[in-house]
Amino acid sequence: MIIRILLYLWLVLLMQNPVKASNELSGQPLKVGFLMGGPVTDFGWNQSHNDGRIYLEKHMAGKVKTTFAESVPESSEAGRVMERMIAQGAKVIFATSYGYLDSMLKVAARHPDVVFMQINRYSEQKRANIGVYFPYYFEPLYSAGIVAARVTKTHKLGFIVGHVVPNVLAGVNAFTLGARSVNPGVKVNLVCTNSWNDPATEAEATKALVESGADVITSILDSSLTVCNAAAKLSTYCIGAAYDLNKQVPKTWLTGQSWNYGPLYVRVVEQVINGSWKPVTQYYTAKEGYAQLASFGSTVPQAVRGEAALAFKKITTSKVAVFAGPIKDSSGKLRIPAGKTADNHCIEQMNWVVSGVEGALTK
Amino acid sequence: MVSGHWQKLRRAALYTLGSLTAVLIAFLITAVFLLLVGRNPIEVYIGIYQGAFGDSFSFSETLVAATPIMLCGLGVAIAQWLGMMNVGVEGQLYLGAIGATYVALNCHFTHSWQLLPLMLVGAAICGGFWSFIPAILRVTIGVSEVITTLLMNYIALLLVEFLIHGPWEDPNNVSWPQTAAFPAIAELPHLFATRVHLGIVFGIGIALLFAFLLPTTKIGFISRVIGSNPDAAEYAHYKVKRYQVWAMIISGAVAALAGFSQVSAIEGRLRSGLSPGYGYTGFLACWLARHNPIAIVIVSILIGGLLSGADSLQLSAKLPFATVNILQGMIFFCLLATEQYINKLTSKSNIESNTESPKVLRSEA
Repeated sequence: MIIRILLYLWLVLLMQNPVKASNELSGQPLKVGFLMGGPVTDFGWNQSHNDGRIYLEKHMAGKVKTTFAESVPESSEAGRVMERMIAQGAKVIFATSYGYLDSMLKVAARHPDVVFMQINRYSEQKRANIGVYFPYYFEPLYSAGIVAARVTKTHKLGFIVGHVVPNVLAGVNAFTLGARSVNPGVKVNLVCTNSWNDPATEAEATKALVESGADVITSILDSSLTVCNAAAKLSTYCIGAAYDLNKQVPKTWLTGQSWNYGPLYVRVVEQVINGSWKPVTQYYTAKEGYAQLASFGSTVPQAVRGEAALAFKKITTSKVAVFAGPIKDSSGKLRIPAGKTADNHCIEQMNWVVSGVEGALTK
Repeated sequence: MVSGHWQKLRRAALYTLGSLTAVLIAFLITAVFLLLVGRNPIEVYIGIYQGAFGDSFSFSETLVAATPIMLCGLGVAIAQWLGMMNVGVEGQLYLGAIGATYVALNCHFTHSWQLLPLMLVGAAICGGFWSFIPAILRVTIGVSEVITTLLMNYIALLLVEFLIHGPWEDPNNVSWPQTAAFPAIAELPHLFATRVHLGIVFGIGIALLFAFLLPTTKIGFISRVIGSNPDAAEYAHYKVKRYQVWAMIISGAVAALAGFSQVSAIEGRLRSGLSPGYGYTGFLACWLARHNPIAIVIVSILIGGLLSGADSLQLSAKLPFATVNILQGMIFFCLLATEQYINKLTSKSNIESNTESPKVLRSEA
C-alpha cells in the first residue's frame, strides 16, 4: 500500500514539472536550449553554433534567454539533456548534430508545447513540433574546390570526413565538381574517420593522404583544426569546413567554408515568437548568407581568388547551380541527367559520390 | 577467532573510511579548481546534488545511469572475489549488446516474454565468451588477465563498429553508425513511466544473491579461500583454475547484462557510443565499494547521480562538460592513493589473516 502511494506521488511529481514551466512563461523571455555534439571551443562546427547562440541572445536581448550543453553524445543521453532543458523552462530546442533525432522523436512526443529543431537530417517520421533545418554548406566548397585545383601540383586532393552522411557527401561532391570544372584531371581521395571528432585518427589520415601524394587536404569534421595543423607540419595546403582557420594556420590555409548561424537562429526564433513557425523541413542555400566562403590564405594568387569568388557569386545569385547535369557517380552511372539540377530531395538523401572521387566510401 | 573478527571489522572500517576520505579529498581538490575559475564550489556541488536527487525526474535519470555501472561493477567484483582482475567489463558490455542485438534482429517472435529472455541469454553467452578467453589464457599459460581483458575492450569496440558499418547496417539510414531499430517487443519493461528499466532490478537482484551466497554456501566459502590465498586453496585440492575460469565467465555475463539492458531499454538499437565508459566507471564503483556487492549498489547510484547531475553543471553553472571528468578522475586518483596508505596500515594484520586460512583448510581437508 505504501509503495503504491509512493508511486502515485512520484507520478504526480513527474506531471508537475512541465505545467509549472508553461505557467511561468507569460511575459518572461523565451528560453532557447542548444545541444552541441562537441566542445564549444573547437574552432569548428560547435563553436560556430555557439557563436550563433551568442548572437541570438545579444540580438534579441530581453526577449530570449539561451542555454546550452556541449559534448552531448549522439545517444539516448541527448534525450536526458533535452528533458532537463525543458524542465528548466526551455520552449525551443536546437539540436545541432545529426544523431540527435532518435532522442528528439521520443522527447518531442512528451512535450507537445516545445518546439524542436533538428539540423541536417531527413526524417521519415514527422511530428507537429519538430522542424528540420538544412543550412547547405556545399556551395562554398564548390569554390574551395576551384582554389584546390588551381594550386595543386600533384593533381591529387585529399578529403577527410567524419561520417559519409548525405550532406557531407554533398560537400565532397560539390568540392570535386568545383575542382574538376577548372582541372578535369584532378582526383579526390576520400577518407572517412567514422567520428566527427577523433583527432588521433584525423592526424593519421592527413599523414597518409600526404604520403600518397595529395597536396591539398580538405576536411568536413567537427573541426578542421587537427587536420590543418597536421597538414601545416607537412607543409601541405588545407581547406576547412565550418570555421575560418586563416589565423590558426596562416601559411598553409587556402580557403574553406565558414558559418554565420546567428541570423538563422534569430529568424527561426522570431518565427516561433510570432507564431509563423511550422514543422517543416527548411533548406537554406548560400544565398541566405548562413554558409559563407571563408577568407583566402595569403598564398592564394589574386587571379584564383577572383575566379573562386566569382563562381561563388554566380551560385548565390542563382545564375549557376552546383549540381547541374549531366553528373555521373563514381561507378559511371548517370545520376543527374543533362539539363536538370538536383532538387532538395536529391541532396538530402545523397548517398553516392561523383566521378573523380576515390577511396573510402565503403558502399 | 575473536581477534580475527576484530581484525576484519577494523579492516572494513578502515576501507570504508578510506573510500570516503578519497571522495572527500577529490571533491576538495576539484573545489580548488572551481575557485580558480571563479565559481563557488559549494553552489556547484549543491547543483550536482539537485541535478542527481533533487526531484523525481532527476532521481529516475540517476537510476538510469546507475544501472549499467552497477552491473559492470558487480561483474568486476565477481572476478575479483576469486583473485581475477577483470578490466574488460566495457568490452563484455559491448559483447552483451551484440548478442542481444543479434537475437532482437534475427529471431521473430510475437511476444516480449519469448524474445527478451532469449536476448538475455544471447547477451550472457557473448559476454561470458569474451571473458572466457582471457581467463583460459591466464590459467593455462599464465598471460596476465589485466592486460588481455583491457586490450579486448578495444577489439570489442571495433567489432561493434564493424557490425554497424557492415553486415548490420541500418538499411534506412546507410552510413550512420547504427543498426536498424529493434521491434517494439524487444524493449525491456520500464518502471513507473520513467526511463528506469528492469536492468536495475537485475543489478540489485544479483547483488543480493551474491551477498547471500558468498558467506553461506560451500562454493562461496571456497571462492573466498581462493580469493584470499590461491596457493592455500591449491594445497587443499580445490579446483582453483576451474573456479577462476567460471568466475570470469559469470563476471563477463553479468557485465553483458548491462549491454543488453542498454540496447533493449534505452537505445532500442545497437550504435557506437553505446557506453560512455560505463565499464570503466563500474570498475571505479567496484573499487570504491571494495568489492562488496551491496556497497556496489549504493556506490553505483551515487556515481550515477554524479554523471546525470553533471548536466546541471553545464546548464546552470555554465561549466564545461569536462568538469565531471576531472572530478571522476580525481576520485580514482585519490582512491588509489588511500588504497596504498591503508595497505601499509593493515599489512601486518593481512599477514596474520593469511596464515589463518591454511589452518582452517587443513582441518577441513
